[in-house]
Amino acid sequence: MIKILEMLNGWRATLNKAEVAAAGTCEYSDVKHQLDQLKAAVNAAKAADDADANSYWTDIKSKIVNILHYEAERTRFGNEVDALKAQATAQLNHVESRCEIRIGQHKDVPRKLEDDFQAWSDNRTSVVRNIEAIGKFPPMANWDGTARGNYDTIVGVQTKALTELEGIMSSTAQSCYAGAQLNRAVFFVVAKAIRKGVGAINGATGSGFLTYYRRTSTAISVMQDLEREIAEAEDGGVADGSSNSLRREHRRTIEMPHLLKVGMWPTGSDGAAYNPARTGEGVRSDGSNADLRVDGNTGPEGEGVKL
Amino acid sequence: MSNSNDPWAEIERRASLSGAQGVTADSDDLLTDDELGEASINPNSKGGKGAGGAGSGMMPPMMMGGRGGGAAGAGPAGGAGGGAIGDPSGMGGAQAMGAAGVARGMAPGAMGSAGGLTAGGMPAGGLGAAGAGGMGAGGLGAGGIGGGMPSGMGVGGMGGGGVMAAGSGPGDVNGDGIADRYVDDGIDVNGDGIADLPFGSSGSGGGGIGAGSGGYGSGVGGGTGGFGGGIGGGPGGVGGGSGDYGSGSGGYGYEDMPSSGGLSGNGSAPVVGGATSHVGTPSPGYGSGSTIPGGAFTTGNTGNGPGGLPTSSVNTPGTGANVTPEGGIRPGGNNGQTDLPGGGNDGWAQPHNPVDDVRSRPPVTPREPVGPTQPQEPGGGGDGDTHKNDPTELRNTGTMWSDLAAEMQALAAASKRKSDFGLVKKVEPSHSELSGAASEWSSGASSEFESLNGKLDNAAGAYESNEQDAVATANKIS
Repeated sequence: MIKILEMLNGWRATLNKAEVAAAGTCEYSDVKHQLDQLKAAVNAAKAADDADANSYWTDIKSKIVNILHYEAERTRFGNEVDALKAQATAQLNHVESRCEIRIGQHKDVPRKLEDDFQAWSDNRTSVVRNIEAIGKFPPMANWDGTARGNYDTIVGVQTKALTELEGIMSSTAQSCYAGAQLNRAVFFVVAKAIRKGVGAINGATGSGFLTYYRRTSTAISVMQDLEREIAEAEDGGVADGSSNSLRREHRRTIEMPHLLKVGMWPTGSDGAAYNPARTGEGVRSDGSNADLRVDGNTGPEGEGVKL
Repeated sequence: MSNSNDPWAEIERRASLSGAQGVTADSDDLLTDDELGEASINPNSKGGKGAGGAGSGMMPPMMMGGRGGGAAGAGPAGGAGGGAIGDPSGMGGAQAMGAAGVARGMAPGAMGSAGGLTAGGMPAGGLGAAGAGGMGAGGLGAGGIGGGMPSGMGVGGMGGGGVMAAGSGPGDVNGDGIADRYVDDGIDVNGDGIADLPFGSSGSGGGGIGAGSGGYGSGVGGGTGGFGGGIGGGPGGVGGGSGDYGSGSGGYGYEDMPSSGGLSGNGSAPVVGGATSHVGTPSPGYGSGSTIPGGAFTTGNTGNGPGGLPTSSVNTPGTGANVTPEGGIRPGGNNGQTDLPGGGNDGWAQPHNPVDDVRSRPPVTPREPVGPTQPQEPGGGGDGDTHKNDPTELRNTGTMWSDLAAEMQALAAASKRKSDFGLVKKVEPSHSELSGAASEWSSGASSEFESLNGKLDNAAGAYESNEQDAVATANKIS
């Protein structure tokens, strides 16, 4: 079973460097490619099994002179093979369609979230620029005493509030980036699962004594697991750990500010005594605050078809 | 103490006398509230008879003492105007020039020609309070009127002719024919080194009455000069006095604030030594200038111009000759130069009775500034600083806040961006909450910034309103 557990850094710790790098740039097209590989593997498995079965029947026909119920037995075997192969085909279709519909529909999400990341980063830059602009406002040179102090305090409060807002913008941007990364990670995990499934199918044991269509049977089993994993991926379950972590970070970021309260912007000297909170550290997409771990296997070997 | 009920009548009376220097004999060398229009207009003012003219007027914030304030009034007060030809020796303190606290720049020095000045005249009360205001130094007929008449708006210039130049002695304050000198805490008139009279007691005949922003200089009896050192522009002094001429000059304006040129000098009937008329020319005041005519004397002037701080007193009887004080003539305004007072000398011939005007002039109560208050700087001396908080600058700063408000509003709109988290939909609600909060905060910042803009704009409007009130008041007088 493939699972994405907990947080992103855990996931990174689990994957080797090459996989981390691949996950960061994974696209749905990679999943699609693996689906094609799966389809080919399943078809190959069926073909190989057919070849084995045909060989069996040829062999048994030449060696066994008096076979009672030969035709009937062959018919029974053939029916089972057909059913098995149909099941494999159906399962392949399930996996493929589920992947295309439930996963593929989000193929553009990472890019959009990265656009959002850029937009929020631009917002943050604007806030920084505004903070700098305020710093360059001419002082009220001829106001002094309380008046001067009040004005300076007001300006100071606004600057601090903007500083916190800048951090909020930064965390929001990081949240978008983390979201993009998680989506890509899901793509990667799905693709990796399929790839492993393909490997399992291709490496499945061939026919043995009185046992045929092991490959096809294995393919069915692999694809059943894949369908469950895809179902788990499509609702974010594979990234629950990371999602929960991110949600906690969102909450913490909202509650973090000293001057900013939800729905309110400080006015006058409100909050003058506080230093701005480090809201920019609320959400980080570099893996320090998120955890996504990958674990799993391709499922049990298929039992094959008993003769 | 003078007759507090009607000092002006007394002034008029004494103007016709020789030897009289003050409103009353017992106040010849003293400066009282009677002479200080400011005192009644702005009871908070410490100006006037304060030491060394260092009182502070309650100026509107952007008018507070500062640049040029003290520079006002450096014009030579000498000169002969209408009326009797002044006896130079009798000019006494009318020679005085300069105002306490001259910081830099020159005094526009209204060159009132004091015809027949026999006595110094009035102490230049209110000089200190004048702060940035100009000071008229006009000669008086006999016994002029000093007295700053700052409106509540700051100060104006002051009349007050014959104020000693900074650093100079007070002249002969007590009229004993011996030059007196400043010592600590006052003026030593008997040479014992101990102050006998308070600061502000000195001075000599002055004429003009400065007022408000924009001074109003007037002469009484004799010709007078006087200029009102307007701040930020008001009319300059009005030289008053029938038959005489006066001169006015634009006051100091602040940067970005228009300053009127001198609205000055009138005097209709040419008399001996008097000017017949003064054709004003546009004379932008210090600052951005104005269209109020100032200009230079054209005829019969005894020195004029706010040309720099004279290096020597001008004590020329008005003979109609154009006599230029050493300080030079500075026609017209300075067109916004920063270190020089607006020019604008003189005006036109026009009978005028400044006394009546002064009497009828309502006190102007300074408005309470909206927003931060301005420091009350000591009057009398400009410190050379540039005032930054004029309405334009307040509005400029407000505009900056408004620009930021617009940017924050744009950010608020941009922050409404909804993100699709695709395969990790569980993240979306909390992310939306975060981004929504950011949007609200951006919008809140926009509102607050716009509010700051509004407050600054209101403050600027309040300042301007104060100024306009003062100018309007001065215009009523003139």
